[in-house]
Amino acid sequence: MIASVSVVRARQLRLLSRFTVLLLSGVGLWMSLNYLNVHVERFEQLFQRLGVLFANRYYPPDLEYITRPGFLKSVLETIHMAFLAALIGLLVSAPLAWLASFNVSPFPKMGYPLARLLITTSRAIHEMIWAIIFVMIVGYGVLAGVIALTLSCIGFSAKLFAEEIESIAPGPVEAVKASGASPLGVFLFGVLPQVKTAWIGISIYTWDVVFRASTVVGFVGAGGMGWYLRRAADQLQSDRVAAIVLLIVALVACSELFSFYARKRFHG
Amino acid sequence: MGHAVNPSPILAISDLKVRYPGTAVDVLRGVELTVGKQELVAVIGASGSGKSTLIRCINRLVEPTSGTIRLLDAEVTALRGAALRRARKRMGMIFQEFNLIDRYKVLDNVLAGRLGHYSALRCFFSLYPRDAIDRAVRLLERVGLGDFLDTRADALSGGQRQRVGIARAIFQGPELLLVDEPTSSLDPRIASEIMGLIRDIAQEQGVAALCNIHDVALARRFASRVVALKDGRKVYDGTFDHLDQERLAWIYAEPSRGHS
Repeated sequence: MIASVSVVRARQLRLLSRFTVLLLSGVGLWMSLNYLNVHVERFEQLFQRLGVLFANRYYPPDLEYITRPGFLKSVLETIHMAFLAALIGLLVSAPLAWLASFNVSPFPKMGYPLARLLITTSRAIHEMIWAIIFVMIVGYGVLAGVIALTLSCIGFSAKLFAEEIESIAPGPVEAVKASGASPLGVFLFGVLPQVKTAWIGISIYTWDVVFRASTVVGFVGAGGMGWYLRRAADQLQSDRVAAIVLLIVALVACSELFSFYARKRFHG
Repeated sequence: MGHAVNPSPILAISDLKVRYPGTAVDVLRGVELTVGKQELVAVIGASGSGKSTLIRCINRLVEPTSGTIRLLDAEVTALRGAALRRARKRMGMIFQEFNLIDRYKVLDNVLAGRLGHYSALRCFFSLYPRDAIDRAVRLLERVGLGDFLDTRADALSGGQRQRVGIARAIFQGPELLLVDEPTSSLDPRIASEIMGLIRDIAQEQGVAALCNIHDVALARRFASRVVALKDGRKVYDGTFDHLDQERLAWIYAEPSRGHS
C-alpha cells in the first residue's frame, strides 16, 4: 500500500520535471530570439530572396575560373594538405588513444591525463582558429594549414579511437597480459584486433571531416583553395564564388563516395 | 630455475590477503597453499569464496594486499615491470571464457602464447622462428585441432576453443598452469574431455596445475588433491578421501557474510 503510494508520487514527480524542462526550453527559445533581435517574419521572404539571389548573381557560375591553372594548383594543394594531415593525425591518434583509454592505458598515472588533455585541447579549438593561430606562428601557406588540420584530426579521431578501446572485452587483454607480454604486446594482440574494424571506419570518417575542413582553412591564409574563395567573396564576384562552392560540393561528394566504397570493402 | 631434482614446491603461498580497492571486506583472508611438481590441485568452493581471486593473484592480474607468493626462486609479490613479466611467462593461464583473439586464426592464437618470449613487433609481423611454428602445430595436433590451424578462432565450438586455450598455455612453456573454471561454459561430456586433456597434457609436459572448479565430481575424477575455500579461507587441503557429503555441504553452504 505504502509502496504503491511512493511509486505514484515518483511518477508524478517525473511528469512534473518533464514539463518543467519543456517549459524552460520554450522560455529559452523566446529569450534568444528576442535578444538576437531575430525578425521571424523575414523567414517568409527567405526562399524568394534566395531564388532572386541565385538567379541574378550566382547564376551562371564562372566555370572558366575554376579551370585556370593557378586555381587548379590550389585544389591539388588542398587535397595534398588533407591527405598529409589525415595521415599524420591518424598515426598520432592511435598511440594517443591507447594512452588515453582508462582500461588499458600503459601509463595510467601520467600518460592518461596528459593524453586526455592533448585530445581535449585539439578538440576544443575549432580548426579555423587553429589555422589563424598557426598562420600567426609559421606564416601564410600550407604548413599552417597542415598543422591546423592535423590537430583537428587528432581531436576528432583520437577521442573516437579511445572510446572504442574503452569498450573492448577485458578477457583477451587479460590472457595476453598473463602470458608475460610487454605493454606493446598487450596493445597489439589484446587491444588492436578488437578495435581494428571500428578504427578503420573511424579513419575513413575522419578523412571526410579533414577533407571538408581543408577546403576552407585557406580562408585565413592557411593554404589551399579557400584563399580563392575568400578573394572572390571579398570582391563580390558571386559567379566565381558559385563555381568554387560547386566544386567543393563535387569534391566532397567524390570523397564521400570513395569513403563509402572503402567502408563497404573493409566491413564486408 | 626448476630442475627435476629440486624437492621444493613449485608454488608456495603464505598468508595471502586480498581486498579490492574501494571495498571493506577481504576476499582472501590469509590463504596458505603449496603446489608440488607435477601435481594437479583442484580448488573448490562456492562462488564468491575467493577461488578466482586466488588464481589471479598468483600471476598478479589481481594485486594482493599482503602475504607472499613464491614461484620456485621468485617472490612474485615483490616483482614489477620486466621482472613481473618474466614470472608471468612461467605461468600459463587457462580461462573460463577461453579469452582467445577472436579474429585471429587458431595457429596464430597459439603462437601468441610466446608473446612473453619474443618482441611484440616480431610477433605482430608473424616472424616466429620456424621451430616455434612446428611446435605450435604439433601441440594443436596433440589437442585434436590439427585440421583447424587456419580456422578463425571465433568459428570454433566452445570445446574446441578451450582446446586452443590449452594449447596456447602449454606453448608458452610454463612450469605452472593456472586454470580458472575451464569447463563452466561447456556441456558435461565436453567438460570431462577437457579436464582429461588438461590432466594428460600437464603430465606429459611435467607441468603442475592449480585448477579452479566448482564441480566436485569432476574434480574428484581428475585431480590428485583438493583444496577447499570458504569465505576467503582455506578449509580443506588433502585427498578426496576425507571429503564427505557433510563437509561438502558445509563448504558450499551460504556464506556467513552477505557479500560476494
